[in-house]
Amino acid sequence: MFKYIIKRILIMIPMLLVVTFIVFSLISMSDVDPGRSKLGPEASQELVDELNHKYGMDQPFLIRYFKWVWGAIRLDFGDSWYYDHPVSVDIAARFPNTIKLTLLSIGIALIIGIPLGVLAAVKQYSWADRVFTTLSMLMAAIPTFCIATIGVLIFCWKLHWVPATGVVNGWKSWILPSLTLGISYSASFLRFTRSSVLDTIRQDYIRTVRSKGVRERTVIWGHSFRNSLLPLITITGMMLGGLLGGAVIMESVFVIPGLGTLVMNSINQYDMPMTMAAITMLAAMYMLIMLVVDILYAVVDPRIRARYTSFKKKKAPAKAEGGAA
Amino acid sequence: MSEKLLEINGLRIEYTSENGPAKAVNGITFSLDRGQSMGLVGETGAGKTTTALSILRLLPKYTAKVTGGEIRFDGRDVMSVSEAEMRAIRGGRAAMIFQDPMTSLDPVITVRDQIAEVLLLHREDLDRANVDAEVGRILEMVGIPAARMHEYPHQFSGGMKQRVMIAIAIACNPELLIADEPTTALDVTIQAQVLSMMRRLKRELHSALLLITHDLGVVASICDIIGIMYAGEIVEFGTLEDIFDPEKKHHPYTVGLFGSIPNLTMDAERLSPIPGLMPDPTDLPAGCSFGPRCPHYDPARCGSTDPVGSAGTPTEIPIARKGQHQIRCVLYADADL
Amino acid sequence: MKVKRRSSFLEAWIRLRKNKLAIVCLAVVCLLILIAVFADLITPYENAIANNSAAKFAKPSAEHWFGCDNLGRDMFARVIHGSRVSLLLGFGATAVATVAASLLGSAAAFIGGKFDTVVMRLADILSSIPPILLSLAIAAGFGRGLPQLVISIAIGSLPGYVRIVRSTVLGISGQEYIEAARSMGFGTGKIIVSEILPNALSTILVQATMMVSANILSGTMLSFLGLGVPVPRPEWGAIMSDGLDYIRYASHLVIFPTIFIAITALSINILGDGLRDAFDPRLKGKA
Repeated sequence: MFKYIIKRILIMIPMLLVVTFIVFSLISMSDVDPGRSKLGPEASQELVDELNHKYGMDQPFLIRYFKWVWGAIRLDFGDSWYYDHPVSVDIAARFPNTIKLTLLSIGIALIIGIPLGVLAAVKQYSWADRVFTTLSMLMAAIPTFCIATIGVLIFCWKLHWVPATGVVNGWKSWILPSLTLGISYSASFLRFTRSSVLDTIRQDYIRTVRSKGVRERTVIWGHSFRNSLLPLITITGMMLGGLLGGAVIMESVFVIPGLGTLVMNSINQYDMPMTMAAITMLAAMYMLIMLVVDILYAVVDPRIRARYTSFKKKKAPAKAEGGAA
Repeated sequence: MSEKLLEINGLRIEYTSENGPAKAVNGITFSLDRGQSMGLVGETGAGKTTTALSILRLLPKYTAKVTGGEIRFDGRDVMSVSEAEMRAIRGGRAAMIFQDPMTSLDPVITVRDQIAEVLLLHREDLDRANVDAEVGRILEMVGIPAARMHEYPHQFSGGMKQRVMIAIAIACNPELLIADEPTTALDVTIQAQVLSMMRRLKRELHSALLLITHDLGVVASICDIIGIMYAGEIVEFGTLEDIFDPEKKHHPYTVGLFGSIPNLTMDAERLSPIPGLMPDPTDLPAGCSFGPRCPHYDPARCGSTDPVGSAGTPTEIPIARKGQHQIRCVLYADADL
Repeated sequence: MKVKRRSSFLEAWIRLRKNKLAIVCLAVVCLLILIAVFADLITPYENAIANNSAAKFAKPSAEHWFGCDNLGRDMFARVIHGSRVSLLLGFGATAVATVAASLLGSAAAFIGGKFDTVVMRLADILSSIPPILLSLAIAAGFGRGLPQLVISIAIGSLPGYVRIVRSTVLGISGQEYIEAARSMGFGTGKIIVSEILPNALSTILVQATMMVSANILSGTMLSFLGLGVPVPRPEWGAIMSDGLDYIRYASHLVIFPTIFIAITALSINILGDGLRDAFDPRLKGKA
C-alpha cells in the first residue's frame, strides 16, 4: 500500500512538469510586450528593454521555462510583474480559500448525492425515485453559474438569508457558494450512485448475502453500496476537472479572493509569473485530489490493492483497511 | 419436530416478461424428510433454481410471483412468515449454495468476514471475540487452511471459492441445505472433490439436502430420492433405486435423459439425444408439456401441443403411483409400475 | 453498405420519435437555431449595441420586452443576438473538434505503431489537465476572442473524442472490405477518407450532437468568466456576468439570459440522451 502511494506521488512529478510546460508554452505565445505594457507607450525603449531583461524576456523560451521550473522547485515563483512583490504572497493568501471552497463543495455533493442515490436505487420505480432522478436531471443539465445566479437573486437579495459576496462576512459567506456548487454536482453523484447500486444489487453475491439472513439495510450499505464505491470513486475523479471549473466560476460570482479570480486578474494584467503560479497551484491541487481518489480506490478494492502489495506481507491489506475505515 | 422438514404443495411461480407471464414452475409437489437428500434433475430452464429460491423467499422482488400452492418448512408456511422470521431461517436453519462460485462471493470483503457475518447472525454462542476460531474450524471442514481466512475471494481458485460458498452455507449447521448446481461451474476433477466433500459433510451434519442438478451422475452419488423436472413439472419421482433401475417403468423424458449419457456397457453406437427444445414458458402446450418431443405422443390421450391459450383448458395428465415411485404420463396406470 | 447505414439512421429516428420529451426538446433546439439565424429579422442588431441613457435599467415593458441594461441597451435584442455567438461557439468548436478528432483518431488507428502511441499519449496528457486551466492558459497566451474560445473549447473536448474515433475505426479497419481495398492498392489516406470515415459516421455524428451541448455550455461559461468575445457584441454568458453587478436593483438583467441558457442546456442535454438511447438502445437507463 505504502509502495503504491509512493509510486503515485512520483508519477505526479513528470505529470506536473508536462502540464506546466504546456501552460508555459501557451502563455508565452502572447505577443504582448510586458515591459511596454507595464511602463506605458511614453516610456523610452531603453527602460522597456531594461525591464524586459529583468523579467528575463530577452532569453530563449526554453531557458525561461527551466529557470521557472528551478524556481518553482524551491517554491520561488518569482515576483509579480504587476505588483512587484513575490507571487507567493498572493498565492498563500488565496490558496486556502480555493481549497476550502472545493473541499466543502465535494463534501456537500457527496453527502447529498450518495444517500439519495442509494435511496432512489433501493426504492426503484417509487415516487421518491422519480422525483430525485427528475430533479437531478434538471440540476445536471443547467450550468452551475445559472444556478448560482438564481441562488444569489433569491437567497441574498430577496430573502436576505446569506451575504452575496466575499469571505469578509465569515462562515456565512461560504454557505451559498459551496451549497450551489455542491448541490449542482450532487445531481451527477445521485445519478451515478443510483445506476451503480442498481447494477450491484442484481449481482449473484448480493443474493448470497440475502441467503445468509442478513437484514436489508446491511445488504444495501454493507455489500451493495460497498461494491458500488468502485465505479463511484472513478466517477468522482472524472468530475473533479469540472468541479474545479465550477470553483473558478463560484469565485467569480461570489467575489471570493481565490486562485480562480487571481488567474483571471493576472491574465488581464499580463502578469505572467502570477498566472503561471496560480495555474500551477490549481493543477497541483487537482492532481493531489486525484491522488487521494486513486488511493481510496486501492483502499476499497482488494484486487487493486493486491497488485501493489508484496507477496510476503499477505496480511497487510486487512490492516490497512482497518486503519482507513 | 415433525419428520417432514420441507413440504411443497402444488407450487406455481410466474415471471413477468415482455411476452406475457412466463410459467416457470407449474404445480410441483414433493416433500423432504429430515436428514434425507433429494435430487431435482432437469434441463436448464426446467424451473429447478426458481423452486429452490422460492423456498428461501429469494425470488426477484419485482419480476417473480408465486401464483399458487404452498411451501412448508418444518410445518410453517414460508409464504406467510414475517420478514424477520424469514431472515432467521435463511442462513440459519436453511442455507443455500449457489451455482457460480466466481460471482457468488462478495469481491471486496474477506472470506473471514463473509463467514463471520452468517455466524454472528445466527449463532448465539459466538461474538466478535471468538468468531475467528469458529471461522477457522469451518474452513478446515471444507478443506481450506484456516490461515487463509483473511484473504479475498479473488485470491482463491474456482474450486476453493465453491468450498468457501459451502463453508458459508454449513456454518450454522442448517437443517436444510439447498445446493443449486454446486459443481457445474467447476473442472471435472474439482467436481469430484467437492462432491465427495459434500457427501461427507451431509453425513457429519445430518442436514437434509436438496440438490439441484442436470447431471444424473451427481445425483446417483449422493441422493436418496429423485425428482425429474420438465417445464416446471415433476414428471417422475422415486427413490434412487426406482429411477436408476432400467427394468422399471419410466417417464419418456427420463428415458431420454438416460439415453443422453454415454455408457460403456451400452450396445448402441451413438447417444440418443432428445429431439427438440423445452417449450417456451410463456407459451406452454395445452396437453403434456413433453408431448412435442415425446416418441409416444398421442394427441387423443396426451392433449394438444398447441399453446394453452389457443386450445382452451389444459389437459390433466394422470399420475401413476406405486410406493414412492410416481410417473406423470398417460402411458401408465398404477398397476403398471 | 449505404443501404444499411441509412436504415440504422431511420431506425434511430423511429425510436427517437417515440420519446416525446426528446421531440419537444428537438423542437426547442430547432427554434433556437432559427432565432439565431434570423435574429436580424426579429430585431435589428443596432438595438443590441446602441446605448440609450434615457432607458438605463428600464424594467420590462411593451417597448423593451426584457427591459434595458446599465447602458440602456435593449435586453431582448441582446439576448436574441447573443444566441448567435453562443450557438456559433458550440457548433464551431464541435466542428473543429470533429474534423480534428476524425483525422487524428482514424490516422492513429490506421497507421498504428509509433504514431498511434504518440497521439494517444498526447491525448492522455491533455485529458489530465482540467479544461478550465487549458482555456485560461490559451486566453493568457492568445488573448480573448471568438477564435481563441473556439480553439480552446475544441482542444478541451479533443482527447475523449480522438479515443472514441480511434476505437471505432480500429473495429472497422479489421473488416474484410478494408483488406480488399488495401489489396487493390489504395493508399492509406484514400482508404481513410473513402472507406473508413463514412462507416464510422454514425458514431462520430452521435458523439458530435452530444458535444454541441457541452460546448455551448463551456462557451457561455468561459464568456461568463470574461474570456469571450470583445464588447459590445452580446453573448449570453457575458450578458449574465455584466448583469450580475446590478443584480440588486435590476434582476431582469440576469433573469432573461439565465432562462435562455437554462432552456438551451436542458433541451440539448435531454435531446442528447434521447439520441444516444435511439442509436444504442442497450445503453438505455445507464447514466
